[in-house]
Amino acid sequence: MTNWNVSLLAPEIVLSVCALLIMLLDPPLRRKRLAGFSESVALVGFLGALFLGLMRIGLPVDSSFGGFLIADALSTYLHILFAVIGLSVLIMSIPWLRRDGVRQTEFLVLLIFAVIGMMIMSCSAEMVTMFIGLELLSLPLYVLAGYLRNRERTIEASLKYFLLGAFASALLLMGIALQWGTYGTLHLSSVAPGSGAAPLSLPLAAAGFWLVVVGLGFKVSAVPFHFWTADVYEGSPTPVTALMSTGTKAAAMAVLLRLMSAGFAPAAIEWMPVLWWLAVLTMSVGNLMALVQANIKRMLAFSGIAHAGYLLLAICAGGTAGNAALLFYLAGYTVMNLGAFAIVGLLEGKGERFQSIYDYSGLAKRNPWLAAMMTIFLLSLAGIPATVGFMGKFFIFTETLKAGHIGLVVIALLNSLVSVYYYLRVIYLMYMKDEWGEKPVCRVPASVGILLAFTTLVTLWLGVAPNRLLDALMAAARIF
Amino acid sequence: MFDYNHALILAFMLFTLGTAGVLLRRSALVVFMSIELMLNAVNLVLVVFSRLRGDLDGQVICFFIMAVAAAEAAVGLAIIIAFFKRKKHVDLDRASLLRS
Amino acid sequence: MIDSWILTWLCALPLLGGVAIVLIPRERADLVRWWSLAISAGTFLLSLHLWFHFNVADTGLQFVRSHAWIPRFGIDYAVGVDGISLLLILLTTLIAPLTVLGSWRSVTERVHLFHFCLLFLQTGILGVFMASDLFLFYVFWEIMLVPMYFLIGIWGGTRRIYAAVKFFIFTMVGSILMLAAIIYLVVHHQHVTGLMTFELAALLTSPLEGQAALLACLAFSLAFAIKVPLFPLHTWLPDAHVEAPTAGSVVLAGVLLKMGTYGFLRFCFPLFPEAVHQITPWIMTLAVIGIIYGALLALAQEDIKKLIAYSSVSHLGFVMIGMFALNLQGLTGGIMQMVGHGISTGALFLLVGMIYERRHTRLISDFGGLAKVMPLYTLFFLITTLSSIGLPGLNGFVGEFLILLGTFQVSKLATIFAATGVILGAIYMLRLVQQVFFGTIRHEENRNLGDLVPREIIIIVPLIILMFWIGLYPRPFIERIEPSVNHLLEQVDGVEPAPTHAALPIGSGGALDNHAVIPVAGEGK
Repeated sequence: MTNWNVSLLAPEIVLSVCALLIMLLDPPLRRKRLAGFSESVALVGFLGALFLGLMRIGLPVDSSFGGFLIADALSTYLHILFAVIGLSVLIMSIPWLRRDGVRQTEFLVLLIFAVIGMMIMSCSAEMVTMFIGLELLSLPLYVLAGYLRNRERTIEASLKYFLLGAFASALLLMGIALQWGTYGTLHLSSVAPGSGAAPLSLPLAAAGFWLVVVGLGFKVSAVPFHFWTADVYEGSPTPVTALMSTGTKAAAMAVLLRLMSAGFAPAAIEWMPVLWWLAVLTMSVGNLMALVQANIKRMLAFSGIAHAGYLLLAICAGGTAGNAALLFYLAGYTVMNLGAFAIVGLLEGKGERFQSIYDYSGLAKRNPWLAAMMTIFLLSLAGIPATVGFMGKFFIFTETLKAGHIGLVVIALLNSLVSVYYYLRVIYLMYMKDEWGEKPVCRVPASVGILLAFTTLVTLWLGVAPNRLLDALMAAARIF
Repeated sequence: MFDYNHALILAFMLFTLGTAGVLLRRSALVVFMSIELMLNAVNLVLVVFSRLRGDLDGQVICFFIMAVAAAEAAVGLAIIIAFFKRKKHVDLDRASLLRS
Repeated sequence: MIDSWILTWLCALPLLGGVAIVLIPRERADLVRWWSLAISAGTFLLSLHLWFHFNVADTGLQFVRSHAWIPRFGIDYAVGVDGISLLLILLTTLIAPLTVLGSWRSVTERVHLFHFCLLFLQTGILGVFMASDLFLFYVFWEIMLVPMYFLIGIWGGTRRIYAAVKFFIFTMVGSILMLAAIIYLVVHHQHVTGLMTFELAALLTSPLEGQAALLACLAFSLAFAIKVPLFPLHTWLPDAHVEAPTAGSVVLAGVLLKMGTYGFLRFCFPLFPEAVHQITPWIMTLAVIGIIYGALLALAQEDIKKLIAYSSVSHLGFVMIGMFALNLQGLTGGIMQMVGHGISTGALFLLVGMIYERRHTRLISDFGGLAKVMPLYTLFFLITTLSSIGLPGLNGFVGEFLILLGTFQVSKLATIFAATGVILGAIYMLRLVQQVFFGTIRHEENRNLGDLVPREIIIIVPLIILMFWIGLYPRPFIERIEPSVNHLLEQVDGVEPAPTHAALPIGSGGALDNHAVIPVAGEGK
């Protein structure tokens, strides 16, 4: 009866093996000057995980480890997404590690473990497993955020991230404990079994539910749990920021999605108003704060908060189509953010000196290709048509309106109007301003170039032809 | 006879204390201790419920939490130490290099 | 066969050509110009096919092409042309090569990007005029902002950034609400029919009612009114016009503004007939204010470009009152005026660009007596001016006359004010001509100005020919417009747009068969 099908964990296992290999073999090999060993192993790991994820497409729903893990289309999709994120961050970080002369072994290992954590979160069918995944994701990220421990900003970001992350974990845990105490089960699909009427009517259960939401709210950086985001994004090394803004958000969002559209769907009437306000606040605060940022990473951080708001909109929309819209937007958000951060990472230069948006002035003359690609990512983030950002927003807004939240859609649309302003400002600096101080022409390593070309093409391609992904995601959006 | 309510109330008090500590105290170390307090409150809740329901799952979860807390402590203390080495203090209010 | 593909090619050709510019080496700016000219001229030649093969008897969309694009949301790639859009498309394709020629010498920096933007812009505008699916329309409507933003922001004048951002944000404000209204319409349609589609013709079958219709209509109107621009939403226009490079101004005045008026005709009128009647008095009032206000401001301008910009506000006011007269003469006149204004104002901006290239100033006071040194230029400018103020025999007259005729049946007061606008228009334009071209030469620099070179003559002559053609023999134009206008009036005036009556293809995708007049029906699929 109990299924112990280990193959469900195949991507995680491959990645773990690779991480262990790096840890075991890197020190002796390093002495023999076998450079590039750990990068290659990490690369193989992510590619393997990606391959295994792709292989799982179309397989029937399966569960394992006593129902603690679930392999449905959603988890398959997220596995692929996380493998892509891991791969991209790896590609971004290698030139960075070389440039700043940082030890890379631990970095790669921590990166791999963080991605494993995301994967486990995405396929957990039960809250404690989810929590383990969350910790497996968070702990390496605390360290990664402060990886350059001699740099003041970095270590400060790490400390802030750690304290608030641990605090959020504690709140989440209390929520889990209360849930378990009330219902005796922690399965995401049946948190409130048999209580179709009002699952949150018991005070302890309600408290537990809200604590879980708050805990996840921290991770997706929903307002008012967002205040760490900008500081941490700014202080962390850029590849790590890319990982946080895409991976962590996607993983937490996926769990929130499972929670809201499976176990707690019957209680929608109770959490809907709160989520409504959460979405409105998250969008509005994110966009308004982004308006006044002069540091590109802070700007992207607040824009990421705003995008979390759009994603919450999709949870408000609900239903299979709403979930599909959310998952589509998640893919789009991931791709365009990875691209944008890759460019930020290239341009910041050694020691991360050039992170002000004013350092982007005149970029179109220095690096026309980089400027063009950055423009595409920014336009996509702003939601201009023919980009994935527009398509995603459009799907979400349509589904939300279908669900009857007209006010929410209008607010969201006005928000995207505000966002246009600050994205345009960067474009304006790149194309219409002369250089601001001397800056070296940035050389793009081939690997990052491929990554950028890939993300650009996907951004445009999904903006024009979203059909296949959307259809595939309809399967993933049926959540049990 | 063991009164579950008392134990639960104790747990919630601990949790509230911990939350207040996180929100009010400015020393990174104290904040970290407050978080540990919250985790212990969670453990207490789980154990109480475990006994109440006659279900050992709660205690198993408890072990998980202890393990995670230990890992968190290892990483967290390391970060705090690195911070202290660099800045010679662990005051969060004075850690305002970012935000500028 | 070509009929079913022509619109797609027309729309795609400039974009493909624009992307291909990437392949041209960086130092070969001349090659870029020739390439861009070839592409835009090719597009124009291709578009002539529409003119000759347009079926005058047909009231509906022609040359249609429809493909499922995002079936899950009922979004189609659906394009078609009727009498209303035909002339605007031709105007767009005609103006494009002229702008390329017009910026042959004046744009020397980042030529690649410039021509990419021009071609990309053309695709966007053409898409707007041919889309018959609301989503597709919105995509083009928005996407054309980007190249225009670059055109103004990079090659514009001193306050170019301000103008570019203002242009972008103003347009976005309107279109964002329009998007909300579009989605609302579609969701409403789905509630009524159970079918999700963005196809205009299908949406016409489930009209909104009451408050909802009014709100949606207002959302659409706001987007279009900003683009027109209707007083008091016009403030972006003088900035954008003045700061934009010649090519930008020409496209802006020539075509872009017509997207707003076209939007009213294509979407507002048929979708919300009742609400349109409700808002008509307001729009009329604003349009009349715009006519007078634009004319008065034009009187006070020292900068030639700014003068023309304000004259655009005034002229577009004419178009609006003509359209909202909601009768055959008014609407036909409105469309003729759109075309006429596109030609004459486009020509004016091109001419101003030529003199600016020579003198690097646009202040009226810096000129005077140019007629002596530049006789040919003066002749062209004079003809264009006369066409702009509506002298009989030239293109401006046809539209203005029809508009006044149409408006007179609805509101005498509006007609009187509008007629005053005509007189004011004559005053400021003639004042401009008088001060710039006649009198003595006050500035030494002006004494040695060279007259037009062949390239510049090639730019202007086609427009001059068109001015005379439309002015003297407007029949071919009007007979193409009228059937569509009649059909539009049926939709707006009380006649329920019953499915059997609608001439537009109903339903998404395959339901083209009930429409035998369309040449490609059936075989295109």
